[in-house]
Amino acid sequence: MENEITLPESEFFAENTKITIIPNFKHAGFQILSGFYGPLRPSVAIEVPLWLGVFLKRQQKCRIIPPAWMDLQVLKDKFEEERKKEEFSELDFYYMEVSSLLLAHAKEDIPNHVLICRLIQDLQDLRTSKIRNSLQKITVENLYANFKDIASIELQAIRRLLPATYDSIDYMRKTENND
Amino acid sequence: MSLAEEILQLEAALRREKVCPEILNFESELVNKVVTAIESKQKLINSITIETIEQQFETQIYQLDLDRIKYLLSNYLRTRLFKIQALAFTIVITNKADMLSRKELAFLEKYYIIKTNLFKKSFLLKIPEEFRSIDHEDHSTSPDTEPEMNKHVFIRALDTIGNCKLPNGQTANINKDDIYLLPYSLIKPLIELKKIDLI
Repeated sequence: MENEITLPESEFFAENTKITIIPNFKHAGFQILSGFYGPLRPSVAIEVPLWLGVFLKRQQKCRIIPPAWMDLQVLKDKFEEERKKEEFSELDFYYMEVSSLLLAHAKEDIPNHVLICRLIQDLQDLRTSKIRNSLQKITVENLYANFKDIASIELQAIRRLLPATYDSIDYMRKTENND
Repeated sequence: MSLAEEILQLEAALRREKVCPEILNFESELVNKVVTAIESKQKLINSITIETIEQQFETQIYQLDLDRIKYLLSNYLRTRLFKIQALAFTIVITNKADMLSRKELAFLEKYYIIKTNLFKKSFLLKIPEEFRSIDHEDHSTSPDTEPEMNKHVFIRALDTIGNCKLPNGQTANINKDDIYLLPYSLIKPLIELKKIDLI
């Protein structure tokens, strides 16, 4: 076991995100450890954790309403914003985990899912290249940048490398000062 | 605090423990409550006799939820055991034992004895006596890789922190929701004040 947050673990955390579903069955509600969800009525929207939504979907007991940001126009605008801005634009911290779960299990509930899948991939590429570019600009005097709105998936990508690099830079700076 | 909130707190504790280079305080209250809840729910589920498809469906959901919480708990406990093994000598030398639960302490004691004996048998008895001691008071001879307090960790500000002097002379104005990669030793007090979270 590694002592760091792994991709399956961040998917596990992402599965607690609340999403809206429209059930097609009637039930008084589920009193599970992580909360009470109910009552469920056909065609009445209700918020549940993502894992429960996916479970019900796989049993064909509900339709999933994708989160507001998983919309073609919203994502197109987001992509434009991301391209113009130097910083990250605001996105769900688990946007990649949530969207890939939904695209895997409920793609018929997502209008334009093929295009949306492509756009999310493009968005991630853009954000990753932003990180790469900003890393090239790092100097010892200007080491500490604000990573505001970085998402879990991008954090995972740099978690292995960046902290260790910073540790070394710090170490070199200290030894230099001691000379 | 409701059970749902406690589960969220345990999740946050797991993330903190995963990222933090040193051992943190054992969340005994959270763990006790979650363990009690898991046990009573498991009993309840086991007592259900499944007769209808409806009941089977419900039980499946309860079990699924329960398995997720069990995984969360065991992941938390295992992350700590992993760290206790890696930092065994440091925890003993620096007197951090009060950060551990009773069971963890029992584990540490056994682990410490086994490891010390192994070291003695394999090489300590073959070197001059003055070099044999494992736990010098000045920490200089701790055989662990000690927790690197200057290791960089990703933090998210839960609150406005304001100007923060950084080790390279830079000053950062840290606002709520900002994410920085900073040396652990620098931000340690802010974790205790719940002003930042490790991510």
